[in-house]
Amino acid sequence: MTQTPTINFWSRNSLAVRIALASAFFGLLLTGGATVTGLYALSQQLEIRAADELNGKRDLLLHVLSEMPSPEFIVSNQHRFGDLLIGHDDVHLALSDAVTGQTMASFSPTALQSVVVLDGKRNTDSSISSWRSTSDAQFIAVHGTGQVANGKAVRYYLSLDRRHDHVLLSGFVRTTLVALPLLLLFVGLGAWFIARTSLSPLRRFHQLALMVGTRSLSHRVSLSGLPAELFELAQAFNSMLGRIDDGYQRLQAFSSELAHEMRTPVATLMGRTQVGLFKIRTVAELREILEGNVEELERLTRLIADMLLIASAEHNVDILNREPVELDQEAQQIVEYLSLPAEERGLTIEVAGAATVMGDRQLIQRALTNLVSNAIRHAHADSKVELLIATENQHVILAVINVGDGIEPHHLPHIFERFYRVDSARARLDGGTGLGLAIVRSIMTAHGGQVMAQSVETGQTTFTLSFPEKTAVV
Amino acid sequence: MKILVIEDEPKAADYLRQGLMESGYAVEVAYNGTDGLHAAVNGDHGLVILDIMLPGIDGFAVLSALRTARQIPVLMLTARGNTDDKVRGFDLGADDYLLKPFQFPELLARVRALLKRGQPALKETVLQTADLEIDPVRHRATRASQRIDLSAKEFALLTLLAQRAGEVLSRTQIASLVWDIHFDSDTNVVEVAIRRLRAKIDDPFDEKLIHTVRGVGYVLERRTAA
Repeated sequence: MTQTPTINFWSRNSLAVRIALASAFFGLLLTGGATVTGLYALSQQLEIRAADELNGKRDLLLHVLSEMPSPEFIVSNQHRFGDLLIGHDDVHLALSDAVTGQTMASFSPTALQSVVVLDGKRNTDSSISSWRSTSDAQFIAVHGTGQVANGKAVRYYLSLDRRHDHVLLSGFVRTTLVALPLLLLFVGLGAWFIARTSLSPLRRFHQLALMVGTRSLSHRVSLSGLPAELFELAQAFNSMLGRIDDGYQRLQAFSSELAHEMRTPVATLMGRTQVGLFKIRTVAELREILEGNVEELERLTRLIADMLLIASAEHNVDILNREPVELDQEAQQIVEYLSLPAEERGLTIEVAGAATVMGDRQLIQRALTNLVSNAIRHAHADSKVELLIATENQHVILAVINVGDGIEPHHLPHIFERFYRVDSARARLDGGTGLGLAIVRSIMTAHGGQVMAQSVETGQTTFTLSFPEKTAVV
Repeated sequence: MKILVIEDEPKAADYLRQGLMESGYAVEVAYNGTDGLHAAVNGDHGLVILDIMLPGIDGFAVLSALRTARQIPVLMLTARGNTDDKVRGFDLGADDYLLKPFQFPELLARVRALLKRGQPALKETVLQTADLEIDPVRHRATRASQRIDLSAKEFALLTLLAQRAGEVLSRTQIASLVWDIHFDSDTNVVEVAIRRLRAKIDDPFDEKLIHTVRGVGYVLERRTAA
């Protein structure tokens, strides 16, 4: 699959299209919901209004009825009832004799029909029923018995045609159905446009991704004019690139340093061996060459072993074989181990304090050995080297303190870097790999702790190992 | 005692063969896993030195096949130092494990230890080389019948050299056996300790017993004047 260099805003997977479709969909849900609710509320209101109208007519009717002296009078005075209906062509009225069931007055064919239909329905005076005419028009109706002045009962059938209401409702629905697609189209297009505009800064990330390679890690996303959400992303992105850049630079510097460190002993080996082979040598001469070679090879071996240790600690390989380690005991053992070189320089070493941490005993020994042997090497003759163990704020601290020439401030930030040598010529003669302090730092990193160095003008230098809370054993 | 070396790299195989032969062992070399397995199953070797990274069937496969056929000490060699490999090797029944690059004296020491395994340990007696006598039990060292005053570590170092008289011990081995420090460090502890010991054991006498094998280590032995 090839990667297209531009962002296609119309492709099926386009975010803008998805947002537009989603907006239209939710718009549909919203307007649909609003329409249904509106329709329901409107028809409810219309029904209430129709019922009120019907009840009003009935009250009027009952009043007119009560003014009629007798049922017979109704037939001859139909116009009194006709007056009730003037201007209300949707109201239909029929009257019948309650006893004989004979229709006394009917003001429309619909009214006549209503008598038949409503007689079939249970009669409660004030309840509203609905019925359908043969022409499928819908009516609501009240029917019941009223009394004329002489106390005779007359049945009335009052119906209200709902046709006007239905026309109103269907008009509402029709308008909505016509307008809705247009509205949705508008919402969708608007959403698409907004999404498209707000996503356009993503092109910057796209372009950056195309530009970044191992040779060009310096590019960054421009932050100007980015929306807040993308601003954070861009910042995180830039800082990620920064870290990668930094790590890559260090790796590059480191591999060239490593090549250099290895080249020196290899060149010596090569040269000495070749010179040795120029001429016929005596056994003693050849032996001398081999012995020299072994020393170089030992250095290379140690360099490789040290590098591997640092690499595995830095790549988060779990190199730790955790067990409770009594720091005071380990310190004592290291002090005993290094007591001979210390005596040679007339130094005394004191260990004070005690604490136990969870850690890798051998690695901790190693870190201690490196620090203490450094202290011995750099202390003034006949001075005192101190090892202090303490628990501070739930951190276990082990400090190695010596008094010597001290470390100049500009060296301090670098002394834990691989191959950094304050005095390169001298360290090399000692047979050091230049990795001693880097190993200490790696070991502490692997333990989740850290190592710090401090040197004051009086020449007192302190290296502090700090083990985090969780490794401390109470 | 016959040792089988299974190692595909000819130069490595050559120096192993030479070094072991010069240390008094008979050596057979197989250059791949198949030949090696065949030789190990059908031979009468006292020990197999097995490289893990072999072409075709690798060291682990050879080891597991061998373990179904014979119980014979196996010392594994590998350039990879990760714990998984070690655990896997031991799980499959390896007796010991050595990481390349290694110091030859260490290989020799491990070979000796593996071959000695199962044999009754020698009872500690008074060790003697030339006119030097060491009594580990009574913690006494004398040379030409003169009592020599030694510190505890000096005595431990001298005892180690005397027990392994004639055997070259590397600085790493000495640090490990005398001080219980099991890693290489660029300290000169062992050199200083040897120098101190020499001052007491050798300097007052004409015949020197502690010798430096440059680039390898130290040995206590009687050498006729060269």
